[in-house]
Amino acid sequence: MMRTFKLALCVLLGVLCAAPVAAHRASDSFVTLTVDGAPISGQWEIALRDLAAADPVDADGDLRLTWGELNAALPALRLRLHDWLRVDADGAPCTLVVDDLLVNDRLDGRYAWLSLSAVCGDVPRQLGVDYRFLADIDPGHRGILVLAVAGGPTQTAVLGPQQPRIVLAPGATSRLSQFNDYLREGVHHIWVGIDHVLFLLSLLLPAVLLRDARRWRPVPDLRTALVEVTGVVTAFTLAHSVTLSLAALDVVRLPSRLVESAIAASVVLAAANNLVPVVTRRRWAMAIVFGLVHGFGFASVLAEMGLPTQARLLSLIGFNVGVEVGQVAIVLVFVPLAYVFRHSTKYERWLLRPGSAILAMLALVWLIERAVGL
Amino acid sequence: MHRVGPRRLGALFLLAGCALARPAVAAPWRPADDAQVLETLTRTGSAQALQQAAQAADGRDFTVVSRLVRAYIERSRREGDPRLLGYAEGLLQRWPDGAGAPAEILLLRATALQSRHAFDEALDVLDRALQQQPDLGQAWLTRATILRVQGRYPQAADACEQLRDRSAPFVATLCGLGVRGLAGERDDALSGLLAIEREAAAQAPAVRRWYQAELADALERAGRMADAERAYRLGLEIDPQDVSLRAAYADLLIGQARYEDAIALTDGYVRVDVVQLRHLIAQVRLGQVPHQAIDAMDETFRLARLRGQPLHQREEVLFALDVRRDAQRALAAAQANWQEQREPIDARVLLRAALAANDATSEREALAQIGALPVQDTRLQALLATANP
Repeated sequence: MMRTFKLALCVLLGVLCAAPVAAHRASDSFVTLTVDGAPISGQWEIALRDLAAADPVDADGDLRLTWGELNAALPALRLRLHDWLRVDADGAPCTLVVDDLLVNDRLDGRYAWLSLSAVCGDVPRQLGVDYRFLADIDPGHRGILVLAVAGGPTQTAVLGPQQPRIVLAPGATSRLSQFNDYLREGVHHIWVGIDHVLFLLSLLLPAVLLRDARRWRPVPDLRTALVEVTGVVTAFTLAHSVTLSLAALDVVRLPSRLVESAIAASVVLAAANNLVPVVTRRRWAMAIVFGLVHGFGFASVLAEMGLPTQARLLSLIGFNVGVEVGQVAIVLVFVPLAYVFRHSTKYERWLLRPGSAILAMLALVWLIERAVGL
Repeated sequence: MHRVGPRRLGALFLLAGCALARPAVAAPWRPADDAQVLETLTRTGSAQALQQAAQAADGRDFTVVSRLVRAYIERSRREGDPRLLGYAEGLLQRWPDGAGAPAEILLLRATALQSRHAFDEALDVLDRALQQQPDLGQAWLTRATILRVQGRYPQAADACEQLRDRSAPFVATLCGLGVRGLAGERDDALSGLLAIEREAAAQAPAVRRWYQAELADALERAGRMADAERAYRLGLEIDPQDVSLRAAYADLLIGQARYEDAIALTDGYVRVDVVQLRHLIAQVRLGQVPHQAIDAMDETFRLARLRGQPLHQREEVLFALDVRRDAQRALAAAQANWQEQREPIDARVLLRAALAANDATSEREALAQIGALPVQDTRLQALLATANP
């Protein structure tokens, strides 16, 4: 009794003062299925460790899994596939086939990549997936399922002993938040960058036009357009540099939800101003006011990347310059084209007005999202 | 002049951004050589070994199953490997639930649940085990641990006291002092711990290590950092594989801005995520940006959230605060973590997150929650001072 108690004590004491358990890289596999009409294709990525736990792939038992061994195990894996992963369409089972075996290096280790395909008769309205891999060996294991219609939105599900089966409608209209998740995935900085770019574009769209007696007319010469553009961009740059620096050096801090909402609002207003011109002559003033807000937005991106403790100022300047270069590139591309086409009656009708309208609507969506906190 | 429709031009600008937003595609590859070793495996995790274990469980071979489950849980904790915990639970689930399950099996189940941070479930299973076998000392000890993590100090103290007649009295004393130290008697408990130092030296290694861990924690809360450091070092000398002790020591070093020391301490143990996190924080503070390690950790948290398994929340708060500098994410994780764990470190990260997010409401709430805690902690006090200048 005493001995088992001591043994148990050794185990439990480890977790005693601990309680903070190691942040685990849990056991997951990744099933990706794409529906393209009737055929379904995709892949199943299984961690080699998990495969070795489910099947004696290490044939010689030397604890080193070679490519030869993995390949040789493929016929057996094909036979067992049906026990582990099943797909059915509108209730009728589809035959899932392993077309190929490759290897994939993910961030947390090496996975077997099984290329899959299935033909399910007709175009499936409802796709059922049954996942039972490792359920009897490791109840903590999960299958992360990503289902997509070719070229369309994706749906994600987590399958495991608690939920071994899911039925999805592949063609379901994407929810707005799902669409945004897809965009947001790992490219946050571009997302933030886009609204700055669009704000700038909103201000630049009418730069090659003059508002005259409630009508738009093309500017008479390039110089006028350039003066306008320079004024707007310089004002925007100066303003956001100031607030970016203040925020990045922790002199001023604003809640990010407020900042992001204000940035979205600025795009709405700038775009709307093109449709119902309120500010016509001093767009640079708009650029300054809203530039101050955008600077805080840049700061949050910078914060996410983290300013190093050494060479902080230099990094800050570098980031700023990077932003400037990006803007200049856009201006250099957009303005000459806009100038060339400014005479076209279509410019106002097909670019300025619908372009601004689209920008305004897009920004309105962002504004609502960010304000509500989606 | 070649005319590109202005409408198409406008659309292109919008679409360019969307196209750029597509995430990087995975790139699988085909090895060229049959002899190329793709992965090093363990005997424990081999299909054969697991099948034998399953057979033992199906055959109700209690001795074998009990030994295996304990080994899996112990190794899982040491190596920060959740798969081993999964194998333990896989074996336990083969044992029929119900009146027939021996108390020892219930205890093992509770231990596995605790390792997964399913604290309330674990307590329920422990209660059942104790109903069957009230003398099961380990069950009282596990119960005390969980209640302490949840901040339920009076019940934790009671559970500690139950150990007195059921196991070594020293264990009961140490358990009790640990709880009292958090429950508002910091200095008395610290004196108590120091008083039993000699007795501690005569205990088994696991108990000695536990003693050093409690001592280090109490000394840190009392602001005696140099003494705390000595206790951490002694504890790690007894068991270099104690990852939570190493992580706590690393936190102390980082708190004192001794980043190189923290890196040296955590080096070689970064396969375990709690230690890897401190390693990353120290690196970031020194201006390094190990992108791959950071992304890997991010994916761990992302997948955990997707799975709905709240195992990482305290770590995610620190990651969000000190690596990603994302105050909103830190606050969300801190609030979720607080529902589960209420140790002094959880209070500190909650407050740090609330302060960083610059959100008056959350700050007020955090202060109210933390104010209700009896714990005395100089580091927490320092943070509170910055909140109420």
